[in-house]
Amino acid sequence: MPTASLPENLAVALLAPNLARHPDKTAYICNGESVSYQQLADSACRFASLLQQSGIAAGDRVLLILPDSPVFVAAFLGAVLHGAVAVPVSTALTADDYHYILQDSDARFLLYSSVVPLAAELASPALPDLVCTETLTGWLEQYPSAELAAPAPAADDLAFMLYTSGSTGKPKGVPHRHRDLLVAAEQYGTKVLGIRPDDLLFSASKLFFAYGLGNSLAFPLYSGATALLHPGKPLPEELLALIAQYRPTLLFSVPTVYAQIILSTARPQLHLPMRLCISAGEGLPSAVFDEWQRLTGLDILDGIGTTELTHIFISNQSGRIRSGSAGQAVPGYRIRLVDDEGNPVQSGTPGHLQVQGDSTAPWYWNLPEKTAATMLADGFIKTGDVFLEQEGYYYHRGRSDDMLKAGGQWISPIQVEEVLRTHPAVADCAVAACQVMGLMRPAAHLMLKPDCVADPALERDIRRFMASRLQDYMLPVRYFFVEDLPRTATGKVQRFKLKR
Amino acid sequence: MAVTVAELKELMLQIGMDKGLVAELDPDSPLATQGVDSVDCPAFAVALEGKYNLTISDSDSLRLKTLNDFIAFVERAA
Repeated sequence: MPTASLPENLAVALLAPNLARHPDKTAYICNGESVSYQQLADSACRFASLLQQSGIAAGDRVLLILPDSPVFVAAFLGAVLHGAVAVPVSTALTADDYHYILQDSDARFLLYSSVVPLAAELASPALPDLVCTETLTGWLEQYPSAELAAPAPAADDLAFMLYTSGSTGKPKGVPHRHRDLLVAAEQYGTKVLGIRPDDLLFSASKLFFAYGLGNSLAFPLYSGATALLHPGKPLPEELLALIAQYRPTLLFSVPTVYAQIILSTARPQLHLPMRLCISAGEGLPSAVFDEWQRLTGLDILDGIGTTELTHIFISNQSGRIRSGSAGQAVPGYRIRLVDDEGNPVQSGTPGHLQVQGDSTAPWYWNLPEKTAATMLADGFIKTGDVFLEQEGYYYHRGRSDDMLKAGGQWISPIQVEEVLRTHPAVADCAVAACQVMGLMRPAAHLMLKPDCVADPALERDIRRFMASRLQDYMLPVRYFFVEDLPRTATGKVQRFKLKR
Repeated sequence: MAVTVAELKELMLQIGMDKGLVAELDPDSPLATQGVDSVDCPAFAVALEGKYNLTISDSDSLRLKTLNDFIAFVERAA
């Protein structure tokens, strides 16, 4: 298997050992299609050839707007193999966000799925593009399948870039080097999860998230295992049907989806085949951990990661789980908690979480001020989370900014507030976290215009207004009609005072 | 306190849930298998707490799966 420390092209590192060892082994299962490692490598090479013929140079960004599928994996690896920078983005963004990312990344090639109509609108004479389906068999057969080889990248050469929500409401690009996914696969996938070649991995979280990219691309390929992919929404009944059919040994998801699976079954017990269930993306409520254990007999390993660190850096481990805790430091990662002045806090005292590890992004894309403020000279990065440490276990205590997370996805209050202010009845507003069913969700605090009345009909109208303009996970679940909002002396809204 | 399926469905409509989806809900089947998603579900729980002036604990929230579960919960809490 590959070694994380070698300066090797990421795609070569993930594919070559598998081609030498078991080329006919199934690498991916998706929509009834089984794809071998050989097929996957051939398709990656063909996509690299296509990029070559399209004039894409090393370091150019290749935008991928694709649901989970073997085509996603082949295209990602093909772009990396060619020396380009793969930029996979969500299939559920708004047109504005797609245009912003296209401009910000300065992408030179676009590959998109026919199931994402908004992506087609990005195509232009200046941007070579290709539309595809989710089936790999027969894809790009007209292009030559070159030998799987690439020059060793320089230490700082980029392999891929992910976009995550920024505090200003605009997505921010987080680039990563070739080694970063390999480090995550070795430190977390192998040393914490013990992933083996006979494992079948299944992630409800999608490949365009850092969490899903590790779960469904880096970890199975690094370990020579097999992954099950699901292009559709992670609806509980569909996930349970796939689990029953294919019997994965590892399930990766977010607490919201675990809760939805629990709520979807009227049976007193669920007999599931997994040896490990993993949760990240948002804090795992103890109630979800307990109910999942009661329902299935299985533990959930909770952990915390960020796009900047590539994957999980604090995690519970089998046999050493503490419910309510995010766990212990993953091998290879250094954790420190500091006060507002940057001084280390004592054990048992909440502090700002800073992390250092070999999978850290080198900078933010086009955001030098954000880079300087977040990525420290000693290699540590500020996560924005407040944690408390006791006996080596870390407990989440909140955020040191106004960002909130729902369903494993970041939400900038500003983005939701901007939409709320366009409703004709809203004079001013603030969005802050509230806790519902043990999970954090956005709540809207609204000041109405003088001629508007706060009643159920208006709330219903605002809910529908928002639902037509924002992605589901951003929608406020609670609406409070208020006379005023808490503000600083200079008039800035104090969202932290609205958290419930 | 007697609570009806119709009252809970009316509450769902007040929080903007789809009229067709609400009309078709079977009170004995889990809401999560009938199109009530991870956004509707907490919004409904919050609306229920407000209307009946009660609190749903984290652990209760994972055992209230059908409309009839919610009715029994409200009637017990009354």
